[in-house]
Amino acid sequence: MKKLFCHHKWVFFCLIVLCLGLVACAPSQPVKGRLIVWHTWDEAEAPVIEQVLADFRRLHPEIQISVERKEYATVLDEFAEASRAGLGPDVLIGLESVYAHLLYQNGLAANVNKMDIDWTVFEPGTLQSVQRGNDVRVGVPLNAYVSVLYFNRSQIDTPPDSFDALQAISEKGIKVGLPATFFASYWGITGLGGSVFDGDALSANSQAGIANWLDWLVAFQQTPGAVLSSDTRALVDSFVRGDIALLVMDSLELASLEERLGREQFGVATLPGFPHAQAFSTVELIVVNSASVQTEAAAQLSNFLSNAAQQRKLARTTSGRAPVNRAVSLNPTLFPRISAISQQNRTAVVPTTVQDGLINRLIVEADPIYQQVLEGLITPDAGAQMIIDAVKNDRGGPSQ
Amino acid sequence: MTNQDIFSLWSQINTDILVFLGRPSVQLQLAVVIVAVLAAAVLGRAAQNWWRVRYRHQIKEAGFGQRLIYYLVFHLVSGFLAVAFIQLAKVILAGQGARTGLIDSLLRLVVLYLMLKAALAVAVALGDIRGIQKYQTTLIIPLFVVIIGVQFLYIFIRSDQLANVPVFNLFDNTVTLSALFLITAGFYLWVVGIYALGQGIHFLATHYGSADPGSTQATLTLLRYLLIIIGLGYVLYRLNFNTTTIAAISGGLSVGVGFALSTILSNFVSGILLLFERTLRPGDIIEFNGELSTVDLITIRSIRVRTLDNVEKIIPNSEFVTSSFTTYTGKSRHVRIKLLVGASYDDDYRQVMQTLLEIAAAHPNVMRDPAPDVRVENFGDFSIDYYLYVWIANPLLSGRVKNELHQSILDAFADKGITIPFPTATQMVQFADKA
Repeated sequence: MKKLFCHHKWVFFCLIVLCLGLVACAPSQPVKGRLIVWHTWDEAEAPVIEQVLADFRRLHPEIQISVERKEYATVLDEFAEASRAGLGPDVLIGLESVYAHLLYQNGLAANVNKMDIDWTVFEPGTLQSVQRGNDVRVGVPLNAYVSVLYFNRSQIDTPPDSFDALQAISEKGIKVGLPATFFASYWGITGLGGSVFDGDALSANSQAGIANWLDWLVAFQQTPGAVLSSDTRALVDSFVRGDIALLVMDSLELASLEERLGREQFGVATLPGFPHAQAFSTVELIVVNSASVQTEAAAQLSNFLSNAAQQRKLARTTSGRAPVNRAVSLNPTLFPRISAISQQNRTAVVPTTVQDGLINRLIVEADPIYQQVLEGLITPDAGAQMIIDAVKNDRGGPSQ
Repeated sequence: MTNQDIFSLWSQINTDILVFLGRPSVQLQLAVVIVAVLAAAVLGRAAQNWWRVRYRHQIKEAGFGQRLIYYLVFHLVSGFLAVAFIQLAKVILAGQGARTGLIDSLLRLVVLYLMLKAALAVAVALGDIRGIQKYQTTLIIPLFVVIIGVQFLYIFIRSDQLANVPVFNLFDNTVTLSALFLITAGFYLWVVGIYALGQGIHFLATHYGSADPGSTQATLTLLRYLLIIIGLGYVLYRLNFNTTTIAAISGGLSVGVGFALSTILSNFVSGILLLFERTLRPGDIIEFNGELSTVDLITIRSIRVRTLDNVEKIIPNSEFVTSSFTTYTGKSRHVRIKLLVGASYDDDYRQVMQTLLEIAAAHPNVMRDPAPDVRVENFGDFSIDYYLYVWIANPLLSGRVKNELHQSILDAFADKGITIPFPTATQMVQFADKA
């Protein structure tokens, strides 16, 4: 024994230090759950979610929480690697639903459907984003973001509420920035009465809907104020310089645009053609690690984060994140910006996991054809037909 | 505040580890790896014993290749068994659909351990077992513990939070945990690593190359101090020391140096000068204070010499800068010694000279080139005086060679009837006349 100790005294020393450390930090009260939480919110917004988690900790002192912020760009890989080892967080906050499906597909995210979560509080559309088959849900909705109309108050008093009003503004030479890509301008198709999806497949009149929207874009492009581009960064920069008065852009840009343009000059409105103009909504989820055994604590945390009070708080204090709790209503007079975003999100299209595959194929096929149509190389009708044909003939991508 | 940060982070790590240890998938992987490592250790120890009993007698006379194979097998058998067992367990678990990512991470640690053991085996096979044993406890094990610790933290925490935790403030600079680690364990490993590397290079250069041991050691000593200074500079840089801070510290130190450290500083500077001028190198044979000695070691403060009586003397470096001494190994280790021999006028001087040359040529320590030489030096009152000049390669042997040559001359002259005259005195006693 003495020999064993002498030969491995380093190992014994390290073990003793580790044990002492663990004993020293042992909780003084009974612990019912321990949660490791990762979140992906950026540095500016991290204090908001961390404050909410601190509130949860105060409310549930029997649950220990260890919180760590992760960069969004690398969190998926980090989570996947850790979860494959049985490690990683119990709960990951702020992952887009499409990636949550990917994690579930690889056995790394838990099915939260059977967990003790109150599913009745959510907007039905947002639940669609987490649904996978009948019995599986890959996460719990936390919030959503969607395209909205930003406007510069020094140039526009009242934002346009219809396509005609938008065109009329552009006719006057007031600059209007629209992203000319399928995903970011999907709201135009629905706003003009078209549709692309019928359930999880392309609708019968999808070609007509796309052609109609392309036709409107071509006509709009002729107006003096039209600024159509697939370069969203360039559009944002022009808006904050004051070169563009109206801009359709993602709601997550809210804080950045407000800070750069100035609070007094900055306004947010629903898209022209609202409520028919339905943009795609991207839902951020609370994902539970499939390696975790802390499902009860994770469910309690999920219920806490999705209750009306926390959803209201998150919506008011974060940048452009719409609440997903159906009971949350934000007074447009008191909170005009987030109220507009919330309204827009309530009518938004939340893609199902099957639609995600179809949307990806549409993005790949449609974006270059949109450019060709706007450059006058092909007609809107021909362009729309090419898009639909290409998507239908694409056998390499995900099935419809 | 600072302590609070450390404690809250430690609490977080504590929570993380407890959460991980509570997961069945983690428990299963850890259990598998622990069992595999223990099994490999037990079987490996048995295999080591068998291997040692079977080959230890043969290995003493074996060449490097055979020694390398012997030590590689001896040191790596446990590690290889551990890798094999872990891999096998991983395949079985993966086949059952269980998670194996943690096993992969822990396997990397075992492979790292194998690499360190392989380096150890190569070093032992090269021959300097005593040196290796010393560095095994001072360098290899601490290094491995540090690497394992960092890897362990990375596996379980995957965060740079720990590294950036502030610990204390020093001269208005915040010292983080990573900086503290760097200036303590990191600097220790750097210094010990430099010493080990230097010793390794010296061993290889002198045993397997044709490098002069003294010059090699002097160069390595210089390099060692240079690297240590670079390491120290990096430590100061990581501590965010600015020039003002350094100036303040230097100002404070200068007072201390003036009063208490002047001798140490003087010896330090003298040591640097001796190394730079290459006045002295380890292995040099010098005569200092009338005593012939070999220079064993030049350190930052003193020079350790060994006299012919095998007594070690520690002489401060400054003594060698301020006093004169004789070196027999400045540019060459060859020294000439001369013996004065007298022979009778009655003997044939040609026979005498030939005999002396034959005696010199027959001595094993006398060099052939330059060849021994005999000269008629003087016509004395009683004898013709000859000088026998011989060259030897090791100045430390001069006394012994002289002694042996003198004995040979006596024997040869006796055989050949050559007389070594010596002064005789005739005492004339005159008695007083009785008359």
